Amino acid sequence: MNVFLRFLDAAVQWLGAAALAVAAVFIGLLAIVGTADSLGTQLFSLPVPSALELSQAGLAVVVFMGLAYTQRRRGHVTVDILFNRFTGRIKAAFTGLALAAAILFFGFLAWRTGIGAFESVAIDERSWGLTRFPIWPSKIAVCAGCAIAMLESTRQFLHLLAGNPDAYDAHAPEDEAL
Amino acid sequence: MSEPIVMGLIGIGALILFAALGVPIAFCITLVGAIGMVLVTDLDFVLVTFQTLPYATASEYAFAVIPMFVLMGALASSAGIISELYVAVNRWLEGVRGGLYIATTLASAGFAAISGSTVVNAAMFTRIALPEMLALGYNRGISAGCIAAAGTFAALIPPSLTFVIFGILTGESIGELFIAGIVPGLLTAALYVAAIPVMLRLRPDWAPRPEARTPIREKIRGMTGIWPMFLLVVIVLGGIYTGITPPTAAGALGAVGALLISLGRRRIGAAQIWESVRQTAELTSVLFIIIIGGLLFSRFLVVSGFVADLTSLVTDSGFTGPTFILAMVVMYLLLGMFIDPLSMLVVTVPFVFPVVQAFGMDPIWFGIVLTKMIEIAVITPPVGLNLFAVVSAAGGRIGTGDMFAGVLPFVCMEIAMLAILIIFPGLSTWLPNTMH
Repeated sequence: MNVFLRFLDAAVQWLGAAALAVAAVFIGLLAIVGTADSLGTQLFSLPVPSALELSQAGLAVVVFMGLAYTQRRRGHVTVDILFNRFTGRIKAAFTGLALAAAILFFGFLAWRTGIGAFESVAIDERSWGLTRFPIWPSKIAVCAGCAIAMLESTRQFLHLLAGNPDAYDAHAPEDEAL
Repeated sequence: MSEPIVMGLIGIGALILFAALGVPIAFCITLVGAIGMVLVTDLDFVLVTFQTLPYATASEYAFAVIPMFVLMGALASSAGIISELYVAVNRWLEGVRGGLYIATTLASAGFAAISGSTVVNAAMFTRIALPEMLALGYNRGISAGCIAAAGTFAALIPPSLTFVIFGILTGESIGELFIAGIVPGLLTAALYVAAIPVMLRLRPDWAPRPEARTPIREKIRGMTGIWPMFLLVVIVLGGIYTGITPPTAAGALGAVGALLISLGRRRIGAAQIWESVRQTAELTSVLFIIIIGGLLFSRFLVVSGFVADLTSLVTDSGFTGPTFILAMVVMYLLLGMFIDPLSMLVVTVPFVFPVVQAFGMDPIWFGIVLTKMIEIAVITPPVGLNLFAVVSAAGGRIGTGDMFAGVLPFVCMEIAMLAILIIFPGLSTWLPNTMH
């Protein structure tokens, strides 16, 4: 079990970091494309071709590729007024409930967005802009982001079952909400 | 009570129960919405919805405004521009009793024009302003209260994440909401600036006598560092107001501008840039999956007939517009004591907003009033996100008791401002009505 968990830790951490790096690249792309399009349109009447469609596809990648890292940090917004009063086994049980909900949530999303991605690949779905670039890679990224987040949740759940709290109980970031 | 109403109430009850047990709000709102939809429609409807809605929401061009403005705020924070802003404002106010309270208020309002997060705003100013306040003998609780309350300006002064989420959930124009928030946001800051001297006249022991005097030349020199960021804010908001740039493009311009200004002044390196991008990726994911969950839950409330029946129930039961708003104020202030603002927004807007529309109220004005109520919620004990952000960032220098007592005068100021915004809707609607 421990050997398997160590392998899972390394594999999921690598996948999560890679997904975060992809999200970071696309955040930069959104900023650069948005700025170039805005300045190009206003100053030189030269908009970036398909800037809108690129931003749309890029945003979807950013949203879903950051999920696994957020789950790793347990950064999702939680109403913890009651939860924080629990200790010991009761707290562990409700942590298990939260992680089971995460597995279900990400798993269900991965399944459904995976079917969407499969259909998109099958028809070679492309954007409607001036440059008709393929949309299906961003749909695959959405499914992959959900799948990696599901693996991260599963990893945390298995550590909970194995009694390794340090491996799943990361601190919540302070910049988590509005 | 009709069956849809019972169904909706069971859904909302289940959602609150799971959330209270520690299940992240995005997961419970989505799963409850999905189960609800299976019960009132069929499995195929749910499967198709889950196949299309997440991608459709996350690939909506207008919503790219979220990562762009988050990035702009994160870069400005990493580059130390907030400390510079605070020092500059403080130098002009050091001759005034309670000058640090007013400087915190004004600098926080300034930072709110770059950042959209109230929690980040409060945590930043706790690190920057609190040590100096405590060293000079300012009242511990009032100092912390002032920082927590002034941090809420980020919700009203654009670019506000609260407005973006409200806009996504209701379909209202994010640009109009941004512009509508300017006057109420600045008025709130002005109310603080006017009320703080009155408060100190009643309790002079809350602030020491002013002492240090900086030469005027130094004061002017202190301003030179902040003007590029000020100019950037004017360009970004001006672009949105005139319609030259949509909010998303303005956000991209703001993020790149903040990066260039920080690089030009050698205030930022690769590590800070990576940290800003990492924060942006994380916060974007957190916000979007809650929004997607909120939209799914909203779909359940609509297809179950809950929204239609609730709207009829409220409009037929003798409620008028003003009494409904009063009931909403009470509901949000009570909810805000126990639930974080984002959860409150996504859970309640799907059924409150249709009723607001049924009463013929201005949706932009309601967005402003709702945001003001959310501002109050984040500084209302026992669960005020900004209160905990300050206590946590203070590193043991502020206790929750001091914090809860110290924020009360500011909660009173906020409630007074809320009343003004409700009584005078023109304060919120005038500026967006002049757009384009």
